[in-house]
Amino acid sequence: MTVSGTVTDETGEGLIGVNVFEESGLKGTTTDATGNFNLEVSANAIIVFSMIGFETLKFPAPPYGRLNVMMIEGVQLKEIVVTALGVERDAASLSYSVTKISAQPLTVSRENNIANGLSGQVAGVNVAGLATGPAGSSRIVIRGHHSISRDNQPLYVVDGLPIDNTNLGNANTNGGQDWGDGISSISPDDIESIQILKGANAAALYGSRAANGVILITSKKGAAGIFGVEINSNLTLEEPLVLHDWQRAYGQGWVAFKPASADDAYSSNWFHYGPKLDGEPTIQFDGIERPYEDAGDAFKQFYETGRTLTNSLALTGGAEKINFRFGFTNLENKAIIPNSGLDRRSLTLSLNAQPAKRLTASFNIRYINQEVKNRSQLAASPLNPNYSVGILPINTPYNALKGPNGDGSTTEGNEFSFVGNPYINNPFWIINHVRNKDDKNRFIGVGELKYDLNGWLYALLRVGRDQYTIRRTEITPIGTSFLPGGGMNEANIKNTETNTDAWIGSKHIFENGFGYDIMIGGSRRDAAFELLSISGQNFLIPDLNSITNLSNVTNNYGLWKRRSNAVFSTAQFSWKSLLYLNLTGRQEWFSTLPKDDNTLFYPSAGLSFVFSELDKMPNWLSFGKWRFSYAQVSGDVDPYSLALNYNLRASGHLGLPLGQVANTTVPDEALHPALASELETGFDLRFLNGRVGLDLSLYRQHTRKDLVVSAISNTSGFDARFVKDGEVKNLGIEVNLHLVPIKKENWLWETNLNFAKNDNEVINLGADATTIELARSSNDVPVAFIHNEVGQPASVIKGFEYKRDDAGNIIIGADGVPLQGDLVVLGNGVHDFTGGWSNTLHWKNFSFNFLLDFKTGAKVFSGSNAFATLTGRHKMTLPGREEGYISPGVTESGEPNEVLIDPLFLITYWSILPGRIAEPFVYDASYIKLRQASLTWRMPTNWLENIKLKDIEISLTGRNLLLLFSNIPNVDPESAFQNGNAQGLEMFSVPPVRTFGFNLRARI
Amino acid sequence: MHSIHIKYILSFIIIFFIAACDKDFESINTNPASANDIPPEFLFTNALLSGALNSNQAGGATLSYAACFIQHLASTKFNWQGDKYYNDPFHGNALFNDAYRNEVKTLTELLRMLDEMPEKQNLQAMARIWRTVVFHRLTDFYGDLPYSEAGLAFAEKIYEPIYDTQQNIYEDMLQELEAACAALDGSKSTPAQADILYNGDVEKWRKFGYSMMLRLAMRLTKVDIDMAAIWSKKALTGGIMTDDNYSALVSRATGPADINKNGISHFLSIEDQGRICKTFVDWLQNHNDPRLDVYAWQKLGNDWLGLPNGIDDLHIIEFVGGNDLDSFTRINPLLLNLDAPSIIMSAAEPQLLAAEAALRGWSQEDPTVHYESAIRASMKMWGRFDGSLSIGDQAIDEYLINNPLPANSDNAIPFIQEQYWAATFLNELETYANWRRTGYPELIPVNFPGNATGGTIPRRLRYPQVEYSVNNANINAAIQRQGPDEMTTRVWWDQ
Repeated sequence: MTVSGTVTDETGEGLIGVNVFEESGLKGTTTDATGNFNLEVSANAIIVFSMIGFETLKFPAPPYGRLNVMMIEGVQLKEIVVTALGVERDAASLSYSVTKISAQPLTVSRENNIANGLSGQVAGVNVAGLATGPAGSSRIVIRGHHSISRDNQPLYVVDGLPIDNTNLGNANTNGGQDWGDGISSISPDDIESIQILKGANAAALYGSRAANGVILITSKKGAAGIFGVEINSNLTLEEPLVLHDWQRAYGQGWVAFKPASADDAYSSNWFHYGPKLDGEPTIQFDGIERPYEDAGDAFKQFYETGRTLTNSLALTGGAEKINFRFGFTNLENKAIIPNSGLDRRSLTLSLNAQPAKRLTASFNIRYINQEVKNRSQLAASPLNPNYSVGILPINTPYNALKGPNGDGSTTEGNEFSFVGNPYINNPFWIINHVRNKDDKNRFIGVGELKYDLNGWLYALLRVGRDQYTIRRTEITPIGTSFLPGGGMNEANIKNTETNTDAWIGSKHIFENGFGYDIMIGGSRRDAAFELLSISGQNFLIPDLNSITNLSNVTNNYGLWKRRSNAVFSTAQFSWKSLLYLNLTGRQEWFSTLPKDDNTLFYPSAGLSFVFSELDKMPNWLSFGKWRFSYAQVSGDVDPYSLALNYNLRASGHLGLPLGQVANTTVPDEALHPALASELETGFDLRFLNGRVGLDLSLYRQHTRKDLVVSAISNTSGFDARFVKDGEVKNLGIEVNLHLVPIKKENWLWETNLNFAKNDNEVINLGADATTIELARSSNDVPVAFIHNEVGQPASVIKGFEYKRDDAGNIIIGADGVPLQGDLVVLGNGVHDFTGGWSNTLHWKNFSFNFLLDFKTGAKVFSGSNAFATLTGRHKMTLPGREEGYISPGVTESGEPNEVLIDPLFLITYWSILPGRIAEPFVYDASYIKLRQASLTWRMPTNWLENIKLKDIEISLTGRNLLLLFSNIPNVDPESAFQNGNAQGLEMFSVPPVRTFGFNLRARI
Repeated sequence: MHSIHIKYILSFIIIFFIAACDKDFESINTNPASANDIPPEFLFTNALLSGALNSNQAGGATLSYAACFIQHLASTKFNWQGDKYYNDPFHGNALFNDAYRNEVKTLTELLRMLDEMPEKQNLQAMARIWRTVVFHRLTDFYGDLPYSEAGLAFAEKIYEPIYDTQQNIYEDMLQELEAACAALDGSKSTPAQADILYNGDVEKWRKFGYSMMLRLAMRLTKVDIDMAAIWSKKALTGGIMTDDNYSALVSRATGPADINKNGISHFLSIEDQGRICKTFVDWLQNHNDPRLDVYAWQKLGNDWLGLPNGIDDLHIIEFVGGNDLDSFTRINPLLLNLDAPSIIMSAAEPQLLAAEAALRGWSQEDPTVHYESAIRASMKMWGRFDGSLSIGDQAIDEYLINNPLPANSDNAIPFIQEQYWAATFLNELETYANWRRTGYPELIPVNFPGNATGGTIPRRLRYPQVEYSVNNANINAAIQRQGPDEMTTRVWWDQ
């Protein structure tokens, strides 16, 4: 059939050059000078209208062949959204909350990890800030922790294929690196849009991994008959957002005296209990006398200006029965830590074809190559340069650490150690000699065949594979303080995930207004993670960093496999455009669970009532919908959790094998599938032609049979065990308010405010537990723990509080130091209130956009601040430096404390305090950030005609520009060093950066 | 025609998915890198090696605490917190944490497995003896501990083990030793070379078992003299180690992994900040003890110079030797090879305890004979570290002439304890326990500002803080019973 019509802008002016094409990609055209178009399409086709600067619109082909479309910048009243398995549905028909984000802003104001770009954009989507460097992981949690210990991040789906988002290694409190996650490989340049399905409803089609919501990524596609070239170039500069604000009055020393010898300076290096800085020559760790003065902030000197340059090129085109889009993106990053950074190249090819009359085929292929150089060690790790720089004595010039060779080495070529602890390393040694790199090659391919049996019945087969290999090399050179012989690790990681889905579907709308859309099918998922590594110590030939040049070598191998099979069905019944009933069901089998208890059926049901379609609704109501849904979802555990196994430790001893129990979590042969449910209701209201919009959701999520991995006492022989009937609940509200306050000829101001409150409560941790530990800040002082505790939100920070009398006075011991109270909950590690406020202002060819992002309701135990207190670097340690310190409080008998801590022994006070009490180092983690701002100029059409280009846009852009509100000194409130469930800990990570940049985009 | 397509597609889906809903799942969920079963000897070797202690345990807990407490070693450095009676949970926790995760876990599974293997009764007896080695060190260092319920998370689903009283632990360990020694049978199979302690020699294990019994029995002289007497007599009747051939030393290696290395040597290869304490150097010098040259090393041309405890880098300047730590006497590097054996018990120890038992009238033997064989065993043992360190018979004879066992038992018992202190170098947990039991040698504590004990030598270490988080009720019950979780609280046998 032929569809014709006119495309206009909001003022009714015809729009020239709008791409109009059938979504299956086979036919397309552009509008003429008056906005008219003519397009031959098949029946039931979806017609797409797209043009730069306007929201892309999709409409089903109208039965009578005429379609007039008004395209609005940023506003749309009716849209087709992609739901689970790539099935497209009218947004109005959905009975659960779905939010769509255009990917284009994510290419202008970029994050290396695209998931971080979602921060503040969508109500209820909590993006945790990680401070792990440019190639680090992300953490997104939608509607709170659904599980006590299993993964709480959403499933990422690219063009219908679930992709792997495994974190390849996190730092813990004893250090380590963030080896990145799966989503970070995806380049925003190839993405058309991102949709977020918040609830559990998508799980019927994607399986249990969708229990935490789904982030659907749709790639850009080509269109028939339109050959295009698109170029995007983006350059950003990066610098730390938050600097340390340590005390700068008192110098190095540990008992109120300056160091008396090089040895003394060396061993007391990080302590700042010396006298007031007086500029007098004083001996330092290297035996050189230097003025006892503020030698400048090493923090500022250590970090360089980071730089990221991203260039992308895309070609699109097609003929009648085939079209393509080919994209190439190159990203080069030089991080703020010298000699570290990330290079990423990605190729994508999208191909759509109609090889036979009733058969359509589409293929999306991505190849990504990523090389990361020198991921930073984090937290209380050896070789963490952030830690070394953070504690460098105030009177030691940063450059003094360069040593005789200028690169942090001694004349003998060993580490030029500046502190009497071999696990605290010279930052120059780290950046110039210690090496790690990882090279990742990833292939994501998905192919889809759809066969139309007739007008109302079709069959579809989709097969996709996500596969990557990583080669990782880590070198600790000869002469490193804690490993004088040096050491090396070589690892090869292979991860594969194969998904196969097939279904038959049928849809039809009868003349009486009743419609149905039903599908039934099956799916299989196979996933495997394989690790082969060799590590060793003691290089034999100096300066030969090869795994064959080590005297002590051990091997490691692991393969973790899992499969799940499922059959599923979904059905949507509609009556006119007024009422929709959605039903789904899935039976899923898990390979990781016991044979007699490895499957569960989980259903969902929902209703959408578009009451604005009723007669006699007032004119000012443009759209109104009430939705309600209920869904259940299951889940499983890691492979090999059922039986006790044995393996061999290291490489044996003197030729003898060393046997050990392989499990560190107590195996449990009686595990069963997890079960959770979610109830959601909401309104979607739009008024005054869409100039005012309100979307409101209320939900109640309840996980009843959670499989919890719970830390247990080491004295039991194991580290953790399964709790099978864990229970956790989320109750929340999400509000999105959309306004277009100004809409004039040359002016448009759009503003969007979203916020969400989530109340999370751990209800049950099994019959015999009321609290379980997820993580601890450190094995060293000071100590805080992350727990899940019955009656509390998931991931609370626990630590020892001050001991107080009934009146609340702090009780001071006979030694003058506050006494330890109970181990109590000191705060929630996860923000429960999140939101963002975005604004876009268009004036003629300029547009200005900014996003404020805010969170509250969480605390953080700051290891950096605690350690700075211990070492006398924190401003908190200033009182009493001259006259002695009396800790405010009362004695155990209730008298005011009068124990005067001699200035000589302040170190004792401040080292005992953090060993006893965690409370003073737990800070409010609320913040408001200017997350993003950009100013864009679009070249006027008449200029473009002269230079024969379709479009040119130039933007000035920035991210994380300002920390407008924060209650935590010295560190960024978003400084988590890992992306697991144990949030609420911070310790000398890579400082989060502020970026400024420039973006150029052109279409030929 | 369409119906044919539909049938085809439907049957495809049915065959592909539904019929195969959980086929092959068991093989998919089988770990290709681990086994359902393992020869028990493999576990035994691991238990012995782990029990010989790793760097954190042997270095962190043993050297930087115990060795400094009893003035074998000293350090000016902040990391060596035992030198100044500070409390540093990291080093202090190491013995506890690693012992339960490695040796206790492995031994628990091994003994569970051996219950079904009566033909391996020797291996079972050896494992039971070794279990007492592991646990007595722990309870001596920390006090009440998970014992009867330890390591049973898998076997009995015990996730929060109770803390047994030290008295109960000792009573059970002694009975275990008695039963295990009785079960050893030279006519039955042995673990042979999997036994990196005695190479499957049943006789040596029996003597080791009875020597352990004597060690535990003598521990009780302060708290329960009758029990000490009863069990000492049993041990002596059973037969203890007589000479250095019986000394319990676990072989180590230079690699490939850290676990292969001698924990003490490995620790000192990284944190070479300990020196031999002035108290110890002076004693060895005053006694003209040939072991000074074995234990200690001094820069050529320099006199012996022990480092006092309780001094930091600022104050060391006021001492002879000043701030150059190289001028102070170090541990002999020949004792610190990465493949140096780990000392579990030297034959000198039970011989000295036997001398004490005889002096207490618990045996009819001549205490002097025991004393002399103890000294011989002690002086010979170091030859196993390096041939050059074996002290010649002439020097030993001379030493025995110059340092005879005092005739008067009031003098002899303290004399024996000083010799015990001198003989147990690098077996510091044992030195520390025996010093707490007897109070000899008389040591003058240091009182560095801010120490955790008010200037007294600590009597135990604190429990790991994490136990308060994961085993709260049981650790609190232990503290209620035993006294505050401080380094000044005395364990049961030290009352």
